[in-house]
Amino acid sequence: MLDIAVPPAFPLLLGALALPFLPKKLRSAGFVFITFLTLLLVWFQPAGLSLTVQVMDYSLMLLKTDALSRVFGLIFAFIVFAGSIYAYHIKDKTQHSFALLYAGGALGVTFAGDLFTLFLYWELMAVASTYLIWARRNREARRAGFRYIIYHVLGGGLLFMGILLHYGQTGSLSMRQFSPGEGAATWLMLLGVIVNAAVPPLHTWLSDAYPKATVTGAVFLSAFTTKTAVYVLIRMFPGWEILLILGTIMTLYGVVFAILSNDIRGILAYHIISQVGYMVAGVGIGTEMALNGSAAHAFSHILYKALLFMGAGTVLYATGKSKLTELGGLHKRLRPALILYMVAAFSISGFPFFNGFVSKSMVVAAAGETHHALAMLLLLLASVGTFLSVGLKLPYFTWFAEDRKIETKPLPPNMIVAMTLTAFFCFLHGVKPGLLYALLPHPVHFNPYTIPHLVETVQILVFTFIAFWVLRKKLEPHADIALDLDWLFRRPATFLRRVFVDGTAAL
Amino acid sequence: MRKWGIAALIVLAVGSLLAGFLNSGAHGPGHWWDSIPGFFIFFGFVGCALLIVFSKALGKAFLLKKEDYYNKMK
Repeated sequence: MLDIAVPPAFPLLLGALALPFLPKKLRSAGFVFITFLTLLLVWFQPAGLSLTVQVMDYSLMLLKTDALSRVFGLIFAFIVFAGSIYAYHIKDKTQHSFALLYAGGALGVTFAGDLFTLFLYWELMAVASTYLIWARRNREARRAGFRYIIYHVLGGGLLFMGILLHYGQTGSLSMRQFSPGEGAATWLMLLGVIVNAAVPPLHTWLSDAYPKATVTGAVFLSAFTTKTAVYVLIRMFPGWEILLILGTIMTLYGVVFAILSNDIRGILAYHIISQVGYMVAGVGIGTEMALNGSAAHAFSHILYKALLFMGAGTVLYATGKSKLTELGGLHKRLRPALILYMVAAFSISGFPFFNGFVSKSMVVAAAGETHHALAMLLLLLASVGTFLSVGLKLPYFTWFAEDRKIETKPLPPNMIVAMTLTAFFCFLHGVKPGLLYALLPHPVHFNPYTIPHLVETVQILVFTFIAFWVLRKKLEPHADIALDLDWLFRRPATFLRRVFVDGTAAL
Repeated sequence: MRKWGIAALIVLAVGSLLAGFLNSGAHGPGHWWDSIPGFFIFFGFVGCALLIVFSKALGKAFLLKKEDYYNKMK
């Protein structure tokens, strides 16, 4: 352990600023290098470090390490490292800088010791991530990016209002546990955090923008915004019952929209919402096992979700297409991507020997132990839907089904390297869950490999597969989009613009 | 290839049922479904079918629109 009280965000932020000054040829290597250094820093920093600076009248705690921030810090640092390898071939190097800013913001939030520092990094994340959407440089992405940033400005505003109100009432900026009865300020803060956690009805920024981001940008997007929100929920809002209800609803909401989605990254985006639902529900349950489960599942999810987006990204890169109606028959040509994608698909579906099995089940078991039987069944139902759409429907119609003889570009090898690295950890934690459990904030008395749990899992997976196979004609993709709640502001948008913008301009 | 797949599914399904029977001693908090062997067989199959049917119905009813829905108005 090294007692270096350097906030892990710093090397990433400095790297972002320094990268444009490196010769173009070295920028990708610089990106990989700085993320690797940051990973080492987080790994070797012990718990209990802190760094406080005085800014005018305020004490800002830029660094505060403990088990909870460390487990999130580790996975954030790892995934930006894996992403940097995945993005090694990118010619648009500004994406590297913004990914570094984004990841730096995430690490800043994770290791922040006071609410104001948290907020500054929170806003940095919003701005930096928007670039990764706009970097796609097409009309759709531009518009989605605008909707995205407006959403996040509003969410950030709510969080900031809550912080200011709280500071005014208590004089404190400490990031401590709050309870529901403490007043409106904490509810405002919760609302701001919930936006970033993509809790319906405030989730459409995710399902709208993520599928339109760049191939490599989506990998970074999938990791940070929602999971920093989960981190904040675990730290500041454990046991808030509303989160159990919202989380459980989220898991099914995401699954239903994923089943209806035709874009492969749209399916994955809705599944972020679904899987984050498990984490949010765990926070709502609030017991040590539930909070451990939320943290463990966040860790596993970042790994397999990034891998899923990497896999879908290779399809998009190689074929230029991302719609199920335009794909099919790729299993001979994109075989390594298929195999690595399936590792992630097994993980998200909770297959034994993969990391989802050892983490999702902790949340489900925590629900069971606290007598939330209905929530438990609904979470299991969402698992059925998850396997159905990510593990069966998506790969079937992308790599099998009808062979449309699509031309494929060869994949840069760094993409496969990054995917293999990530897949390795999905598998490692599945077979040695103790390695993941050792990182969790509370002591773990949970063993996922019990006979009843294996029986339940095998039965669910086998018979979901059978139902899929029997009903697969009903799942044929169509070139549609499913309207989500953003219809409420997108539908009137043209009319409102005509009235308020064009109309007032003509006066 | 297909025959091996079907065989594997049968082995897994039957194996899980047997394992459930042999392991009937109650563990931890009992739920009403713990005493129904093969409950998750039913849950997996019916749950999957219900999700598919429900989602499609929701889609047909009012959610699914042509791809250019938001664009044709601009």
